[in-house]
Amino acid sequence: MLNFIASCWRTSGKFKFGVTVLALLVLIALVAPLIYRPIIGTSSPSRPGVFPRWQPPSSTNPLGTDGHGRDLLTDYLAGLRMTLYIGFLAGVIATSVGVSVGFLSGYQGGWLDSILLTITNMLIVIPSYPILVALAMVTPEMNVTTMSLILALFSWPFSARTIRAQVMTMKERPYVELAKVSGQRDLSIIFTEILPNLMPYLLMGFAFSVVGAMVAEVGIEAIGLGPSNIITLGLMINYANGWGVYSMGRMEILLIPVGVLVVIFAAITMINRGMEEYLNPRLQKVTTES
Amino acid sequence: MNVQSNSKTLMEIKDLRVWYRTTRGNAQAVDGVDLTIQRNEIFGLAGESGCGKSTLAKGILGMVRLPAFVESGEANFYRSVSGSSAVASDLIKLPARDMRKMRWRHIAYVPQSAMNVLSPVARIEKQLLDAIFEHTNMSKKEARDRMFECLDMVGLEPAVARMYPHELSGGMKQRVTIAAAISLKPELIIADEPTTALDVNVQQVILQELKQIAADLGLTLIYVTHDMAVHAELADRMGIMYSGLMVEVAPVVETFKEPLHPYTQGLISSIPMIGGGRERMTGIPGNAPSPLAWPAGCRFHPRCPYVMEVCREKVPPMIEVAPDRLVACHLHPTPLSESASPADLSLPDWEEAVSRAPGVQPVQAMKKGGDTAEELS
Amino acid sequence: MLKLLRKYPILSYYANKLFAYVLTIFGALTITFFMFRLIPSNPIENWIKSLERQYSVSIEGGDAMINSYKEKFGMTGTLWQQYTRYMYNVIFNLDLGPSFINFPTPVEDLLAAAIPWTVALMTVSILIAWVLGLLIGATAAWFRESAISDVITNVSITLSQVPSYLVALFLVLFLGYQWKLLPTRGAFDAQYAIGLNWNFIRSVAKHSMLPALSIIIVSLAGWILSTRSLVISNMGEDYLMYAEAKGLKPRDIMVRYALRNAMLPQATGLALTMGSMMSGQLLIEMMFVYPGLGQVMSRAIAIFDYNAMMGIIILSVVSVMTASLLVDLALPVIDPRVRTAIKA
Repeated sequence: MLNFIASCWRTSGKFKFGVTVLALLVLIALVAPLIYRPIIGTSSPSRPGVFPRWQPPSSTNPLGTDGHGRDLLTDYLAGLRMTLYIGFLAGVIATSVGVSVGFLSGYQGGWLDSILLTITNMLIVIPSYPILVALAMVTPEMNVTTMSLILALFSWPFSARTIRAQVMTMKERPYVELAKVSGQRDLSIIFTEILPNLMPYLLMGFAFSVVGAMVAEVGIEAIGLGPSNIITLGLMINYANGWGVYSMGRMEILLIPVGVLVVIFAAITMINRGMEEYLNPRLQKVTTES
Repeated sequence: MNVQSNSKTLMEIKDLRVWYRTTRGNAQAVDGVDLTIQRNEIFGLAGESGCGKSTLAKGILGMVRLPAFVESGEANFYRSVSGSSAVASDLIKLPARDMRKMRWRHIAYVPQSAMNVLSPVARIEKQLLDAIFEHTNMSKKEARDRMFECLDMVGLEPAVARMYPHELSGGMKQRVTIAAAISLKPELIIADEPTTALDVNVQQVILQELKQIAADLGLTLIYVTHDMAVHAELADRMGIMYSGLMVEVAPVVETFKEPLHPYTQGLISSIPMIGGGRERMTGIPGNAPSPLAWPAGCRFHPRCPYVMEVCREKVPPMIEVAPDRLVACHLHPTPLSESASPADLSLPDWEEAVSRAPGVQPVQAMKKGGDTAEELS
Repeated sequence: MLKLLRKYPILSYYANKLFAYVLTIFGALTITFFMFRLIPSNPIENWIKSLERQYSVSIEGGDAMINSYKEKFGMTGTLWQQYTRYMYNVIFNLDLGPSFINFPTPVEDLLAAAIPWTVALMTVSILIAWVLGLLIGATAAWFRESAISDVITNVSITLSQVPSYLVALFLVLFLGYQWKLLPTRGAFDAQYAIGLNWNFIRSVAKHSMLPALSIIIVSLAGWILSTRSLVISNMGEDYLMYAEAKGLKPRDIMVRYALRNAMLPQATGLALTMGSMMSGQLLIEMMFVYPGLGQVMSRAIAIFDYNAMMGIIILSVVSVMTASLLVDLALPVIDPRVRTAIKA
């Protein structure tokens, strides 16, 4: 897998860009507490009333404060952290389930495949957004894990379908047949022959799930249906909208979270496109000399 | 564009270089090729896989796409206008529009695997007629008549026209591409390994047909293949290519009877003979070098059983050492114009030379990750 | 019958697809139905319970009224009975039950009023985005060595993943408020009479621009990217190289060979996208107060109106599956290779 990533890096400018930007953002998210601790001390980032409301940028509050009396910079840093975390968690859940189902389905075939495939198709057909909103509405206690689970619920079928298609083509490939004929055990074949070749699709599926989860999360937060005790970028957008920052002349309160989100999405998509460029030699501008 | 009165030469390639951009530098697939093609001849371009033959063909046609690019060189095409006069154009420098007009009408192409070059969702007739309509003003009827005429010349029934490519066999598809190439009676046809993917029987038939068609229509044909036997049957003159350069150009019969370049000799001795005793085959020792790093001096020197000191340092120039026979090798240093008497040009026995050669490796299995460039022919 | 299937393998292909169609629709609806009913917090029940508290004590016949409500909403009996009753009504009577948001208007009527708006908006937006996307994408692919192509590609990559409601937000802020170019609410000016008069039509057009633009911008980016990828892949294909060797005009090559081969997946994609239009762009319609299905859905979710939600979901599921089925049915007809593969 590391080989794959290294090759993608060498081949694709888009990949380099996406990975760099994403790595930067993740880094910022990880060290975020170091940045905002000096500002807000030991209180939680979401605690209101720490500062006077609606202050313009100053030395104590580099970006000013919001309508709840919170430091804006802290808001955004905490929001970035949480959004990335939720996206990542949902992505991991969705991809794990999706890959397992897809793999079982593709590898085993037969009636298990038919059943799993039908269930997968059914879930794909159901419009996910309204149901997500409905579920978000009625879940009594919304926390990060519950949210991620709900978000993952509708993403896993997509990974499952892709992985299944790939596994099915790979089953017939000569190197698998060769392994079987030379007496290698099924489990071993899976790990040595099939999984490595599945890696690119796995990674791409993961990237898509993460983006999908974040888009859905922002969608839910933006109408105020998410937990309001945890700050995410989506929540900030909701607040910014509600506070009418436009008429207040402080557009940046809305623009910053939107901008950061767009950058995150763009970076992940670039990574995906970069992997695609590597896998499809025709999209390349330079050949890799094998 | 000058008007030349010498109508014998059809194309002159001078110092053509076509390279590939790779992550590890430029792969110099075609690296200074000089070649002259005469009218009405069948010219065979020979060489092993990876020597740059296909790249050369694409370079002449102006079909070089990223990651490949033309580094330098000329390809002067002498298009005959009327009688004995001709108009010369450098195909490399020709602007895209003019090159497009030149294609098919004057220079046609028969590609390598006909399997893939026919669009799967269009009928054969559409793919034959589109070029005719593009380059001429023929009426629908005239174009269709011409199309059926060409199909007939390659031995295909008129019914083939309405079929889809996937309904035809490999041999039939190849014949379609030949029919397409002759449809506008071009002056030059470049055929890039057209029969390599077919079985020998079909190949034989198609070769005969090609020879007949070329004679009937007075075509000039450049036939690219690594198969020396095909050249023996089809070509009038042949050029041997190695590591991006021409190493020997001469009429076919002479080349086979008395090869001048050691590489040519090696190639010919690699052809198994049917009949006669069973002998051990020697082949050419060593591996083909990588276009990322050609050997210094003569590119063949690491594998040459006659290697001398000068071969490692100086690149041998291409000289005419006998009437119409050119070779680039330090074993033949005197050009015809300078030699006093007809020299004996023949080389010693190949097998003996290889067995006695100092430090040359016998044929080895290809090492994993070795230097052989794979897709660059 | 089996003999018939064996003689014409294409029939068994069709039969398989039909069977999967029916099964998947049924399954999807069942899953959704039970998902809704099994959710603990249940506004309709709560409302009924509050009714019970209020009326069963003080008003005569309060019980009867409550029961009649229960019946109307199909909440009597066990869960299984509710399910079968509901499915029966939907399939055989096309009766989706009464809505809660606009009681007693039946859900079918609500949807019927909203559908034309959504369909109009979505069809126009999707078509514009598709056609433009194909043209721009193919051009970007053809000129992939130019700087403009790179710019287009990167911009498209960025825009494709931005949720359309964010784009809508910006459009509203700038085009709507800042520069006051286009209206931001409603489907038409209330002052104009509904009908085929010029004023009304013009008003409708003006009001749909912002919602349409939000949808188009994001959708366009997606189509540009997929077309570009497809055409570039195709460009490496030998038949394009051959067409070029034949000296055909680049435009001809692009249209007659490259696009034609890329069209197939893109046409399929278009059909599927059209199919998914019924789920309505929820947030966009909410933001613009546009009287389409999304609007109905958002009101329904707000008070958890089962019937309305189920109604829209049924519509959406059937629409997506039908589009998919039509594509599967049409494929053998369009693509000669699929025809041959089926016969094999």
